[in-house]
Amino acid sequence: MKMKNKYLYILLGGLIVLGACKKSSLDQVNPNQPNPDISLQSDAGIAAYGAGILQRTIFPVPNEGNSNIMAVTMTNHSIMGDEVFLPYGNFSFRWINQVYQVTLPDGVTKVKNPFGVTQQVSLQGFNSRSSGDRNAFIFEWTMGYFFISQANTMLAALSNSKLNLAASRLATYRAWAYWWKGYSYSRLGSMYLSGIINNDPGTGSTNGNFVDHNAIIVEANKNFDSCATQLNLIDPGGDDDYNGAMSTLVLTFNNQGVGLPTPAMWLRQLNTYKARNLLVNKKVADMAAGDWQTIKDLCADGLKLGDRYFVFGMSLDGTNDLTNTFLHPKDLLGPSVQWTFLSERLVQDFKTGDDRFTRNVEELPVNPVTDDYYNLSAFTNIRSRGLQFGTHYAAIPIEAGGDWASTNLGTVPIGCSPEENELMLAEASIYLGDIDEGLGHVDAVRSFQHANLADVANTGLSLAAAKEELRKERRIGLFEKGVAFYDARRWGITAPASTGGGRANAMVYLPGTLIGSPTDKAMPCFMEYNYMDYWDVPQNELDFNAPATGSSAVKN
Amino acid sequence: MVISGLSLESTHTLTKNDIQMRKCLVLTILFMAFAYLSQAQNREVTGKVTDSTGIPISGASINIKGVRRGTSAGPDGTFRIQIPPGAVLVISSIGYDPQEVRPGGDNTVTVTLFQSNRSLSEVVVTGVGVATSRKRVPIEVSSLAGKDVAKSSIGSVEQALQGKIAGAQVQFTSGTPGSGANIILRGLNSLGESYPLIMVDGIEVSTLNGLDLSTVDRVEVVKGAAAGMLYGAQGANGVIQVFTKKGMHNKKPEVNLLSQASWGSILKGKNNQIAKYHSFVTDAEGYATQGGARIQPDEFGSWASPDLLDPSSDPTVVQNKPYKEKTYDHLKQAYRNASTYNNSVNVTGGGDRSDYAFTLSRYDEQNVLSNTYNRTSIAANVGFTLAPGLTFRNSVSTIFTNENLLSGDADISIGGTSSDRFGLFNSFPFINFMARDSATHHLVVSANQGDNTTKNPLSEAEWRTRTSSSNRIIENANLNYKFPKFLELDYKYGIELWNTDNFNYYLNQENAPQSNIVFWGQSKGGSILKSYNKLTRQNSLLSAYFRTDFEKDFHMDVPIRTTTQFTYDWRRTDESGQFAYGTVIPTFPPFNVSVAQNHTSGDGTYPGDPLGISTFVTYGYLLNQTIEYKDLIGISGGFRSDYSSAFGSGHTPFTFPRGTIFFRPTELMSISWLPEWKVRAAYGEAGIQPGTYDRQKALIVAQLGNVTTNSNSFQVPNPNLKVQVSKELEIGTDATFKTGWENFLPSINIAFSYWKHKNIDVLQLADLAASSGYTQKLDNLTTIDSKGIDFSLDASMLSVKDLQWDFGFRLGTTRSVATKINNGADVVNGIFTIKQGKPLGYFSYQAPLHSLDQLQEDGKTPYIAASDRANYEIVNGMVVDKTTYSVVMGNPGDQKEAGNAYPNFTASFINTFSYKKNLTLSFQWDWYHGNKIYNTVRQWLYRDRLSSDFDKPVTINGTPGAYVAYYASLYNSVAPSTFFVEDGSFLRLRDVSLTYNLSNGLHLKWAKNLSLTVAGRNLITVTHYSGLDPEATTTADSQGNPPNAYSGALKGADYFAVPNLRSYQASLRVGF
Repeated sequence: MKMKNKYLYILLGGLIVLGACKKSSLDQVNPNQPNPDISLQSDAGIAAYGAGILQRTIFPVPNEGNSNIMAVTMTNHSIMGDEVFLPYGNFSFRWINQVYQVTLPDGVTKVKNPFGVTQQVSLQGFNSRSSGDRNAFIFEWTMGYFFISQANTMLAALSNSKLNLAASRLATYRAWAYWWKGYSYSRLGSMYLSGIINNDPGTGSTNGNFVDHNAIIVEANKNFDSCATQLNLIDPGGDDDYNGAMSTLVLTFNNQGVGLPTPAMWLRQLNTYKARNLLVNKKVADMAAGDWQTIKDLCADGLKLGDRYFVFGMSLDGTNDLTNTFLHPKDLLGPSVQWTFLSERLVQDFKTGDDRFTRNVEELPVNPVTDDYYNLSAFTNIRSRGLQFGTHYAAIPIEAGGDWASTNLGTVPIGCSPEENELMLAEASIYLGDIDEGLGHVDAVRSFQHANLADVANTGLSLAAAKEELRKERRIGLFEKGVAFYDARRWGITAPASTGGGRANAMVYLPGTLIGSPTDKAMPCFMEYNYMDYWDVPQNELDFNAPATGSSAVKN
Repeated sequence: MVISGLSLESTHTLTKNDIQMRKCLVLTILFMAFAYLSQAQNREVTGKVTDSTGIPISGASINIKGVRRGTSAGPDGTFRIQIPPGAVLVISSIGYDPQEVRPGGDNTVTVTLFQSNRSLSEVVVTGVGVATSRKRVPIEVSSLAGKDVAKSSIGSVEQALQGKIAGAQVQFTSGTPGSGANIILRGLNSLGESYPLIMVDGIEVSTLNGLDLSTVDRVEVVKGAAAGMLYGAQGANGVIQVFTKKGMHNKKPEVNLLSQASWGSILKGKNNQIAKYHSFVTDAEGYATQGGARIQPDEFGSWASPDLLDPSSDPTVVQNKPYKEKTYDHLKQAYRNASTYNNSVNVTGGGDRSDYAFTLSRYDEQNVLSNTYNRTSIAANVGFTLAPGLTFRNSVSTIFTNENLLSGDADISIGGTSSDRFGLFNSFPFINFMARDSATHHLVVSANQGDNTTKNPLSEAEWRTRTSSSNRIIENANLNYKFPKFLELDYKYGIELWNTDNFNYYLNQENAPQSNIVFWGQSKGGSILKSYNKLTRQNSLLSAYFRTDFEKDFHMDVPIRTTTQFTYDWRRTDESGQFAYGTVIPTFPPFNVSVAQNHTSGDGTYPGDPLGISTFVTYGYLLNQTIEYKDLIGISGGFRSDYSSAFGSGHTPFTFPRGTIFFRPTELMSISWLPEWKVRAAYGEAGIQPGTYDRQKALIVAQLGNVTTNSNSFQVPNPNLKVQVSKELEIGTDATFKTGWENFLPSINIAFSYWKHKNIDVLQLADLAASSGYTQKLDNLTTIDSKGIDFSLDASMLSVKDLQWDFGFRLGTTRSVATKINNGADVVNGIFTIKQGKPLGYFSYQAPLHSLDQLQEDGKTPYIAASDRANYEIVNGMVVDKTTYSVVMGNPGDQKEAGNAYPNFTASFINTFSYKKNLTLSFQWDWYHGNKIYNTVRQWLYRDRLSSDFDKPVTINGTPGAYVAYYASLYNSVAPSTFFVEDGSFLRLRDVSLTYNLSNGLHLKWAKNLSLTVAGRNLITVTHYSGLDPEATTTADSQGNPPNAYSGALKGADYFAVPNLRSYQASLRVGF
């Protein structure tokens, strides 16, 4: 019996121990991830959060998994601008890149895309949540508002009195947040018919007041001005607080070989971007002298060749960066991914003797031989998806001395580049009648990029010839610099042929079977892109945020 | 002589006097009996107990009727007992109908016990809290004893359960070794995982996968909240409880050996998947060309893509050219025949106050693709009687697994998602995946020049080594004290320790052929990822049972028994991991993280693992009261209240109620053909917990460059998450019918249940407008209603002299409907949709037009203007444009219903024939009916005209032809379309086995049991499904990514999974 009692005591003891379970054991705090309520009350937490704004480009795209939607967005602009083409259906690329019709060199035979409809019909057809990654409209929209939301949260956190920061450091953080808001509204306003202005500090609320894209651009410039106000509080050359904050905010792989912009350079970037906002949102035909002058004035104090600016890079071995192993414009064009390919229409825009051509472009051999870098031969009409999807050129990888294509090397601008500023100066000058002043800026870009071309300024070029020099230089000098689609749109190339759009003498690498030739050949055709000017608001937004009365139109 | 083990009582009402009289009488008789027994001449009876096949039943109980005395049969089924003259022996064993025997004059008896397929004498534990005789169980508890396990199942408990439990869908969706089964009990209760709570001897463990079958004595399954309520906030998906083998008091050691070997190859379906013909641009001799020149492999074995005849310029292009190039069967190149070996030894026995069971097993399985998986299990279950009423039992299983599988899968640990097996299947037939580089003799990595992102999975083994080894210990200690009266205290503590070491090494490929365009892993310089993961799952249960028997304990004249159960239940799961990761590995040894050019380390098992460390705590208490009146009627009611770190802001408990009733009319009536009939009803609620830290505000942590960054998740945080609640009503009946016929259909047992679930507060990741800065919010928004029936029938069909035929039938039907989802707005995830008012597993897509006058989704605008209709015709039920030869698709927004991924019912038919007790033939057919499959593989094969469909002519414009335009228009860039939704119903010969019992036939003295079995698994599949295996379906979207959430609600895509195997087994069982 004593024995039994002993065990009973053990049992009872166990009961008491168990009874001691406290509710406090339920307060399991996530030990892996910071709670913003706590982390944003410290300098380091703010810096980590500011640096993390670009992590928001990694988004679980339906059907595609975690993807960099900034790279998708940049690629969309490049393929619609016909610098490169992308024949695959992932992320809707194939439909975004869907040229309506190609007229063959005989001038009679017209070959429509395999769907027989315009880009607008296709893209609007996919504007639903059920279309997943085929809804082209979601990427830039989502990226923009993700940036805005995180920037809003950051600004709200910076107003917290518990945060004790040096004035210059505080100004740097605020400038960073305003920059991303300005950048995001600029992109949204330059791409969508209308948008939302949302200053919610990250609680997840929004509003139904859709305003038209011009109003979004106004909001963009307003944020750039707020950014400038903060930057003006800092020594133009930067101080320790600025440099300390910026060395965290600007991710190392976005800083390779570029360095940190000083506050002065950053201020110039804002001016360049404001100039872009004006330039790309008006058809060139509608630009008034006053518009050109505004651009000239802004660009006069814009990025200078040699200035440092914000870029999107990759890490050397593909780790700890934002590419998710492949989603970067240079990687997509590079040998290992081969999603984008050099467009014949880009290559034809090189001037003869341009060193950039020698450095960057190789002619693809014809099957059965393949080239050294890509294990690829020239191809036409890939998988019968459209005549624009063929080329006999490839970009020489950076690893082999090129500038444009890579497996894990190189950067592309996030915003504007000094070359863009220079060419805006050129364009404004030319349109304001100062042809040689304008061409001087063209020459400046060419020499900056080691084109080794003869100067065109002061060679007596006509206005039309000067415009052509400018057009070519914007194509080549601003390759992968984010303006290709904006240019095609404002120059009227993407408009329907019926309203004067399209590109004559556009080189197309045609299948031999189509032109009665034993071999495939690049020949000049008429290409009717017929792309949308401004995109519809994605239905993914409208399903949960119906436009309030008085809202601007949300669909074409 | 077969006598039912159920005693029937007369129903006349007893008066108080009667009872007094009876008491006196009983006492007198007992006294007299005692006196008699102590004086009378006993005699010794020897005997043997066997089952219907002649196999001895070791441990069968032999009791003298009316006397508290007995013995048990030895390992060879024999027994020896002293009995008084005229005594009747009651012989019983779990799982068999008991028998009464009056020994004859020769003092020997031979008793054959017949398996009672759903023995009502059985005792069940799961879902009732306390061991209860099956005849008094108010809920449906299915069980599977070792003897019922299909002989073709090797090593796996999940395999053993397949088809055996009505209403339990146990589906292997991959033939890869070590893959667990997808288990759904009675439909879906949430949008997430449907996996039930798994218990081993009363203690929660992580998964059924990996538990060794040879350690298992029996398995009990309860399928819904009515029983799961006892397990509270984790019980809603039902419970599967495994009981490990135990020894027996006073039993000599018995040794059982099992040796099994299996040989299998993948199921390939009945159709050719790949087209015999092509439609490439060819040269004069018929060879495929690109740009006018014949294509041929380069020095690496990589091929250019041939130019395709373009149907947009000539719609009448047909696919009818035979390959001039040598072609390869890629499935044959990739998949070998794989062998599996399983050996186990099991020793059981016991002494006066102890019992033991030890099992050692070793399982080795080859993968059909490459490499192997093995498992060693050591299990011990020992029990001690420490003092009268006080028992201690300890059971421990240690499971070691090692595998070095390479499956061509992208490495999820570094962000890769889609499977590279894709490229193997979805490639031109002239590509030779065994081609080797002429200089280095390495297998080609990128075999198709136009498609460098797709690698040859067969080359992976040359550039990658990975291993994963784990030690899993399941320890379970139980102390139990039964007071002489009323009270029983029971304490269980269980701990599962599961440590896993992973090693993943990609060789430096800087000098590898093709490495400028393609390489394995993330870095051309190679990488090493070493990680260590540790899981600790603790479960502590203290229970008190207070039992009364009014007659016995209080000498009252009411035959009422009560049981009060109080349980305090605490569970805690800790998980943590660390990794070290290095990139750019030298080309010379050693190969480790330290020598890598760049290295990094962190919490979790891979860089960026969001849940590197986690702790989950939940506890609750249960109060349950049972009151039974004789065996006639019983009711129970109770509640369980749970706290959890994952819901209710960490402090608000949730309470789950329960009530049950059973009624046995057979207690009141005496019908010879209906010896047992019970009706039962139960209602209960149980929960499914949210994810460990789902309710907490958390920033995403990402290492970007040299900065650890924080950012908002795309999900808005929601601190107020509640537990998901499943409310179940189950009504059922169990009955035994006796026909009275001697040979044909002597008895039938049935169990029938109708069940209904209402699942409320189901977690949904609701979509948000992106302008809010978030695109999703997790919240308790959804309601799911499910209902169905479970039906089991077990019949002895034929019982003649030498032949015994038993038949079993299982049927489960289920339909789970999302009756409420947030805003009524469809949840869309890849190819899957959850639509309000529609069943889960719903397929709804853009569809080909089916009639010329079809209207668009607005219901008024015709797709084709009346004036244009002459340009179209109907081909195979679809509208085809006679000019382009293309099928006309409806608008992407015009979604058409295309069925459901879940079957209308699952059923199985199990037949066992025994001849002369020596030879047993059994076979089991499993049947899934009405489920649809999205055949993503087939759609991908349409991309490059590889599908064998392209060979089939259709008639357009009156002319038959295998028109490329027609088929190519259906590919639709992998946009989901109803066209690729196929009927996934199948009838599969799951198991067929033939066992010959040598010990009977050869009269072996040394072996108590010696049997040989040959068996086959998945030998025949009857299906209309055109893919390889209708069972090997996943949740992957068109690119092979798993959905972000709702993995439970989204099933039924065929995405390049390894098919299940068709296999043949031979096994030898020896017992001595």
